[in-house]
Amino acid sequence: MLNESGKLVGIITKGDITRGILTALQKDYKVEEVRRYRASHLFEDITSDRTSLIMRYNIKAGDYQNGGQASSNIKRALLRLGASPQLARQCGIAIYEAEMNLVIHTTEGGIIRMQIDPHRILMQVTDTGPGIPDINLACRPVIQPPPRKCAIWALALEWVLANMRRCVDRLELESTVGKGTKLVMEILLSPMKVLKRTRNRTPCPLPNGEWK
Amino acid sequence: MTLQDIIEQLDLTVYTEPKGFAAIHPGSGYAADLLSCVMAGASSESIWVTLQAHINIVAVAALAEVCAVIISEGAVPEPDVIEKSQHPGHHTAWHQSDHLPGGRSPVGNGHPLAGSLAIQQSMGRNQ
Repeated sequence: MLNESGKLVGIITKGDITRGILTALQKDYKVEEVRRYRASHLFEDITSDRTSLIMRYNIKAGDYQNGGQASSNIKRALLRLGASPQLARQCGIAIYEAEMNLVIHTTEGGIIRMQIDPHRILMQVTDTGPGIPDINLACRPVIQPPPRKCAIWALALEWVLANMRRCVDRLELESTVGKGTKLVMEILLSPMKVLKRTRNRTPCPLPNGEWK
Repeated sequence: MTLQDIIEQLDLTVYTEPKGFAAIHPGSGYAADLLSCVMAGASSESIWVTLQAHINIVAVAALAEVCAVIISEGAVPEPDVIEKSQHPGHHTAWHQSDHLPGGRSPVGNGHPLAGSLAIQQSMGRNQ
């Protein structure tokens, strides 16, 4: 190793390189650990009568390239906040369905609003249109065979809603044609409910038309 | 049976950068093309067989935490699909979905491919 004037000042050995890499790795690991610790203790560290974390994501209509990005970010944020992988996956799946509906079916996209409280996760998804023509058709239980003349959009939405219901404790859908749609989903943060939900799987259609 | 074994025995074309496939042990498999079904039914660390090759399979694979996607029916993913599947920001270090190898199967049809996978897995267990 030479100094600025070209004079030999030392020799770098393989051991120096290994030590340097390990030190750099340890430094990065510590930074990551501190970051994770701070995020996961957010609710414990802040003293207030009620602490909530609100995250907003603006979703553009027709932006397939970034479809799923908000869901991925939300899932990552929940893991950083200390959520279990199972809970983060459930939230991610429910929000992905809502996000892709904003991308595919809305005229101007919409907004995802996530509110994280110590006892629950509240997800609100709103758009300004076009709205759902027959909300009752889409909201019927997926276990019933579809009517003979059922619109494709209703069948698709039925699946989406069934998937969301499987992941959340409460789901409410309001829609007015020409005005827009509002979807509210809530997950109560109780470990027992997470276990219960994984046992109650949504019925799936079999190739022969029957339902399991 | 490891992912590397499956890649070799089914002669899959791997589209993504090699990431220690020999250390990945897929627990199960899921064959479906409806993305909602995959998210509802595919288990973590499973292999997903689909004919879909568009960009949205990357997000679904990450959310469902599958360890590999096998694209059947000769469909070829666009370059942006492969690029996104390897994006470090997308599949972050919190899970094994870090590894998102995309393989194209020469078997062609998705159902025979899923059958071959099941047989391979069963043979692997019996050894």
